[in-house]
Amino acid sequence: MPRFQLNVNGQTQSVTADADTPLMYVLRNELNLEGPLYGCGLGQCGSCSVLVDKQDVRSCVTPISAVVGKAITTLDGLAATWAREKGQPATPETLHPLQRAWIDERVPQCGYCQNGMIIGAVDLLNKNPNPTDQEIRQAMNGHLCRCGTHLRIIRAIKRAAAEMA
Amino acid sequence: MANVKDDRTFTRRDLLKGGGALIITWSLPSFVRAAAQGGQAPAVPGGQWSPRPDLLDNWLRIGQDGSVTAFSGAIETGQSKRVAWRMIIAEELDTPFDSVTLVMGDTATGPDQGNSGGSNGIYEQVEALRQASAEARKALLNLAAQRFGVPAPQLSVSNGVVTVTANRAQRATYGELIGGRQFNVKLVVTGQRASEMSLATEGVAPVKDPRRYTVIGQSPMDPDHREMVTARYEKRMQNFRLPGMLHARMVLPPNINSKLVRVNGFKSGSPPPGFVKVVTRGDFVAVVAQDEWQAVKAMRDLDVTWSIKPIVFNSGHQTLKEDLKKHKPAVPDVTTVVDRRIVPGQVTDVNRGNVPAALASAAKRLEAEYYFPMQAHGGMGPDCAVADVRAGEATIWCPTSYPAGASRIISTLIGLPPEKIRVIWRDSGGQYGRFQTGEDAGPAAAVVSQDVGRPVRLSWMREQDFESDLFIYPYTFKMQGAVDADGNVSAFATEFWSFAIDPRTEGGPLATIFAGVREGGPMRPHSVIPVGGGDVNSYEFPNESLLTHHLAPNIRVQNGGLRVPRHLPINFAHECFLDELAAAAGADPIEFRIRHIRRSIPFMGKQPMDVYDRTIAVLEKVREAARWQPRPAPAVGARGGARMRSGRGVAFVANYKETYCATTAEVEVDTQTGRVRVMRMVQAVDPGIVINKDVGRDVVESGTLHTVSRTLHEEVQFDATKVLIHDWATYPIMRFTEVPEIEVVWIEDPTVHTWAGGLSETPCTTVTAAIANAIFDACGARVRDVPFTPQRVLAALKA
Repeated sequence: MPRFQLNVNGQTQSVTADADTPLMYVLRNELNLEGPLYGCGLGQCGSCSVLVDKQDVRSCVTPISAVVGKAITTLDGLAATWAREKGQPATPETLHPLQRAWIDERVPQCGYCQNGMIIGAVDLLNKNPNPTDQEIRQAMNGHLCRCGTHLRIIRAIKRAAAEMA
Repeated sequence: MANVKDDRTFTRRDLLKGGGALIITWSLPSFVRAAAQGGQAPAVPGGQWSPRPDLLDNWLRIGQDGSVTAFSGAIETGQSKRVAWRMIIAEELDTPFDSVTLVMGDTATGPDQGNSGGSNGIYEQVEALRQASAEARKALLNLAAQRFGVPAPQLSVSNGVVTVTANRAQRATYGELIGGRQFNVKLVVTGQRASEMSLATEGVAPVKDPRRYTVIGQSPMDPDHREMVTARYEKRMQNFRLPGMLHARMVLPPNINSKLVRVNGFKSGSPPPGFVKVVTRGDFVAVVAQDEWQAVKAMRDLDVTWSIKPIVFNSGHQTLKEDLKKHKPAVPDVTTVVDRRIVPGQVTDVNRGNVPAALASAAKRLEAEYYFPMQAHGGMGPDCAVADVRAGEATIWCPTSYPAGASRIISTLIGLPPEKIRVIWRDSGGQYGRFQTGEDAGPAAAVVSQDVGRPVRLSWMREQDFESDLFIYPYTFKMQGAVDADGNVSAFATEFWSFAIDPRTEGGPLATIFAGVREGGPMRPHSVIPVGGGDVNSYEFPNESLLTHHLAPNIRVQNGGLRVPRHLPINFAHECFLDELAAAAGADPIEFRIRHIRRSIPFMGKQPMDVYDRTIAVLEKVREAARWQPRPAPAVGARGGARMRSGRGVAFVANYKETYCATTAEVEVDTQTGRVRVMRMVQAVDPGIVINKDVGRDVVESGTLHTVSRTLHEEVQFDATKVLIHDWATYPIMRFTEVPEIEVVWIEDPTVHTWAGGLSETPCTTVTAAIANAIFDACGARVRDVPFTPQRVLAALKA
């Protein structure tokens, strides 16, 4: 199996995998990351989302050959990446404003979709720092939640947007 | 960070820090009482290997730092039970909420508490830990009494610290009093309840007077949230891994009514890289590989010949509503249950009066049919388990809702006795009733691990999770009713058709594949629910009947419990039909319901007037919170020419798990496309004491939204040979742009000093009817078949 150099959460990681291996499996099994989760393997639900060059990407349908040389950020490294961008030291207690908003608004129910939701929200606020309710709904429409936490997600995004402004 | 935490290294012994001498036992009073009751410890569900429920130390341990560790056989189903339980324990122990850790669902440490489901967590299962906590507090006070040389009544306790009331300088923490040592207190176990198999412990310590609560009624945050949002949630099933673990995928037949003929090899001609082996067992086939993607590829590449039995499917989902009524031929050798009347004593107050006569002489007579289809669980996390089976012992991590029960199932498959099988619950996400005994990936993972002699993680694919799910039972209803000259209901007759429980498929999707897990046996009706969808009918009619038909399931899919599996469909039919009667009577829907609330017939052992006020209060509260202007339906513009029409509807359920709930929905109907948009819903909920208003509110809101999705979108599609749902495109669910605003209002009756159950189910029960009634109010169309797709709305508009 070939070797790939991946840039994950600010570090270069060397992994051995077939070129067609979806990024999700490599992140989860080779690199032992816990953020992205398998929800469908079809790119439909968003549970597996990671940031690739700041974009919300479905890691379950993205082969690792396609992300060589790109900056991959998972939920595991989101806070530290945020701190680094702000020039602040990162501790295990550091939280991205969205993570803090997610806690303050008590967003998770079962929690399974929340990796994808947070990644999707990071992408959204990157492109639209002050979204309206309707804009949030439309931007997040590609992420599925079965338990029904949508309203709390919307509130958390607005809360984080206000803090990040 | 790797999550390689192997909790086999964590045993009860680890909690014993510093041996110390035996504590004085406090067992005599309770033990004497047990002896007086016959002397035998009650039969412990799960056999001898589960930690005994009659020993306090098996429920609670206190560390030297005062931290409290509680153990349960119950597990978290994704409805925030974990928060309420910690609060209840902290309350009874008088210890801070943050000091309590709850270890759930490990058969090595948690007493057998039966299955977690059917909203039994706060309603029943927690009572054991509640009582155990009260006993522990009493034991700690007695220890302090000895230490300080004063009688226990002269002590005060708060936040895990005991003081002499008259001299606060004399103080000791729980950690100082017992830290790390055993209580050695025996509890009186009153045995299992037949329906829920939960245990109640009845010791000598009284539980706290609710008027003295300091924790319950507050709103502490859920400590698991921080872990979840930072990718450190250690209990996530799918992130559990062991060193040297292999990966497995099942190769499932085209339908469960198939036999394995032969594994032919790989379509590509040779085993894919990383392939380890094919495991077969009866009709079960799985591939095992070194890494997960290799396992997926091997699964897709494996060529298997199946012998597909002729399936007695109904012709398809489009005709199931009618097929149910036609009593399709039974599967051979299975008893078909038809025309089952309610046995008096099982359900009260049905078949009263003379329905045929009342219908015949009615001023206004109505008849309508309703349909609730099969629906899928569709949890975001497909089923997954890790098993490590060795020569003499096995450990399985899986999302089962009944760990001790799972260990018995697995025992029959791998030939080890249950006491050598440790099952450890892990959280695979919202399951909504899917993973009951043996219905999760644990048994399959165990079989594969035993075969390959290595730890294995077995995961279901998304398409497998849909195709081989257990679907909620479908229902066809025929309602008949009448309104008298005064505008009151004079007759209310319900007839429904649904499936009996087929014991051959009762073990879940793999039961028929693992031969011998479930024996054949007579079919039996799934429980008959009183009209109204509550545990007791909410209303009182002079002439009333209920007739149920439980058919042999003649489609080869498997049915099981999905969130309010019986109450939701029945409440839908009942509350819609009542609404039709209200419209016929020209009455406001809420006022009409209040007029017919039960007031003279006993109410599940209670006098009706004991609960009458609570029943009325919930309807009045929703009326106020929804700013509901009394008037009959439909709205003024309903049959006008506007394209977009708005309306409101209401539905009510009394007494599911003793929670009362009234629900309104406001909808907008696009009469050109048939699309329904739910704009806002109000839930008025009376669950007795609200344990945690914030978390409780979240649970109600989430459950409501789940049910809106089911109401507008969800139906399992199938044809003559197979299930047709595979993914989120073929089984669409609600998305962000469709989500309504939800408002939750609590009724807090100061005379009620208990909490009820069902916050995760009772408010779901009424959602579908409220939306259907709102659609009628908006545009005059009665949609009687779930889901309310645009096609169905357009058809109802034309009718």
